[in-house]
Amino acid sequence: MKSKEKNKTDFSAALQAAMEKAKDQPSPKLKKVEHLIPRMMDGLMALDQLS
Amino acid sequence: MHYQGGLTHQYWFVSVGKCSVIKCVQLECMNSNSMFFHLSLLDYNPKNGSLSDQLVSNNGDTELVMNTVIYCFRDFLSLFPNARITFTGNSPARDRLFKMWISKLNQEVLTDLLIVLDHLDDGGIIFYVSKKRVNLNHP
Repeated sequence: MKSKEKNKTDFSAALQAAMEKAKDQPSPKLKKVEHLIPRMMDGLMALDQLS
Repeated sequence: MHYQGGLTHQYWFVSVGKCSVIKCVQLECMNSNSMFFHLSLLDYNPKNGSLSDQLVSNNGDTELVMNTVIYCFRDFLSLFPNARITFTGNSPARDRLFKMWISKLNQEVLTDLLIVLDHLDDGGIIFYVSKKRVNLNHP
């Protein structure tokens, strides 16, 4: 039980540290799909008609 | 763990499988005037403090990661009910995996979400997600 609690604390500290380091980084993925953005925007607008 | 910086939102979590991998679901506004967001599922690289979409962690907990992504959709759309989310996988194989996962969940679990698939010529898929609207005119 104590070990589980310790893991939780460790994860929480690790997450906090990671978030502090990487919180303002742009997504490398978004850069890669730049060519798809016009199609994605069209698709997102079309969602209004379906929802 | 949720973080908002400007028009970008991040959900941080730990994937606990064969090893522990810090992951980040990042939602970035695609147009400053709109509620259109692009979602990326990223791995945190502790060696250089960067976010990457290239690491294949193969951590043996795909189901948990998928469920966490679905949780992020729900949480984000409850905060911003008018938001629309789009994303695509790193490869057609990943896209198919996510499509299968959605199909599996769709009937029972995803009743509150509208998920639309847009098939690309190269076999890839663009996914679109929004909250389902309730039509008040119907009894």
